[in-house]
Amino acid sequence: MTNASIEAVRVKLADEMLSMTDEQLHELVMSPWAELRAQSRVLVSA
Amino acid sequence: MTDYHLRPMTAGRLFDVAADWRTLAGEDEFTVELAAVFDWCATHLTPTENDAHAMELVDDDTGVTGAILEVITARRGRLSKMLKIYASPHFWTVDRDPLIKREVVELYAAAFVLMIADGISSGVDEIKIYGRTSQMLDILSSLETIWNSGDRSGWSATLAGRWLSIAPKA
Repeated sequence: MTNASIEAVRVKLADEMLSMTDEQLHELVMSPWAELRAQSRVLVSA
Repeated sequence: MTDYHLRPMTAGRLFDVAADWRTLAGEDEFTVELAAVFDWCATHLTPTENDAHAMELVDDDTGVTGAILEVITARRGRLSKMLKIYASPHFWTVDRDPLIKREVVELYAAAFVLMIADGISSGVDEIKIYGRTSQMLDILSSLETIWNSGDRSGWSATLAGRWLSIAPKA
């Protein structure tokens, strides 16, 4: 696998992701944190 | 585009990254939102068969950690799986800042591609990425299409359920 091939995938994927809305990107970034917070609550309440 | 590299988290780096992210998030936010990830990282620094370990995605130019990745190595090192991406608080204002939007896109594209490229170069038979949310699944679907549209030296992408698999063509 060449570096150029990998780099082409990275650039194309980034271009595609730029079409995501602000809300979708915010959800993408924050969902793992929200999930972790929910898990922590369960552990505290258990 | 911002260039990143992926490397295993270490105890020393964990201390530094926690300090950076505490400053970015603020003390209260760090305690509520972030501390649990660093607690988890502290006990998952060493890759262990079928258990998750922490890796960091580091900006080549600044040395700043953009994200912590939860990764599993299985099949005696022949399978690598990425479960989660915890992005730095720096990116949490993505819905309010156009510059951050571009940075988030570059961060995630780098995370996916580096997981695949590093896996292939290290000799694994398969790399899998989990699509936990609808947003992640949409991205993985795009990645599958992009990957299969070019010459990838015999490696193909297949989205099955919530997993994107990158493996040599059968």
